[in-house]
Amino acid sequence: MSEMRVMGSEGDVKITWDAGVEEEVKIARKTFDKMKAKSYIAFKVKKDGSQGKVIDEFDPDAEKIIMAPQMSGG
Amino acid sequence: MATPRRGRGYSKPDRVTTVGDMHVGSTANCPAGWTVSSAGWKFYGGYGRINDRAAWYRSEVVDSSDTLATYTFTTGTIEELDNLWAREHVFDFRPQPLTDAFEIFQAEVEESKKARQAAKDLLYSVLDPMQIHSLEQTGFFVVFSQSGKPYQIQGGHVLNVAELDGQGRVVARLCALPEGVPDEDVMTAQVLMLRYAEEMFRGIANIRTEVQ
Repeated sequence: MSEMRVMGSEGDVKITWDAGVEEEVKIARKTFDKMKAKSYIAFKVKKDGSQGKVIDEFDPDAEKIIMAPQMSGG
Repeated sequence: MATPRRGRGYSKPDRVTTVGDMHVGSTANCPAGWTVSSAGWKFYGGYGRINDRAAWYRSEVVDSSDTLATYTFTTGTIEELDNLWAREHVFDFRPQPLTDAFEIFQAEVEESKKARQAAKDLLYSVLDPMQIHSLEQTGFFVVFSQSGKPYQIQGGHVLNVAELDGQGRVVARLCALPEGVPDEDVMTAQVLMLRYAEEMFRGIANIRTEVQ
């Protein structure tokens, strides 16, 4: 089971999907694309947060995706 | 006739709340549903029920510690009290808008706690046990970028990232963050950026070099 965590003001939203279940993948991909359109940055990582990289396309085989709002200099 | 206070948005409450057995001069805490937040006691009142009698009540701050309140009551049937209200504006402090505000405030506090806990869980999921221990004991932890450069991240979100040299000395402070998320989410985003997109992070961040 894969998961995506999307940060937000009310805490992160967790979305899980099974790569073998088309409908679940579709929902996760839709969320990913929606947040990317809002300039969120996405990190594909292992469950423990290691071995990550920035991704621009949804990967249904990712163990975990963490999406953060666009960053700006403070 | 008492003069009704105006201009604060007070209005006649539209619901009846059972407040239990309260007494004039009581210093008990406010009944459930009418409590105020940690902002302190305020003037407010309610449309309640005391010993099976409908009642208006109001509370006032009675000490400077904001922990005690006194209650005054006028009991009667709802109809009687409605009439009293209509004729004399007996109570000036109408609870509904204020109570709503506090309920909203309290709900927001609860939501904020949940949001922070969720953010903390997410942060801890990307840290190793040593980093978690360091954060809990000292308020900061060190993360290494893919280039091998160490950065110290502190709790908070303003200039909370420090670039370290080989001896652990701070050589620069960096500030880049996602806005509108709890501090722990800010830290999570910073960890991931430093680990996997260091150059992008440095390109975004305001960087202040530390004078040695």
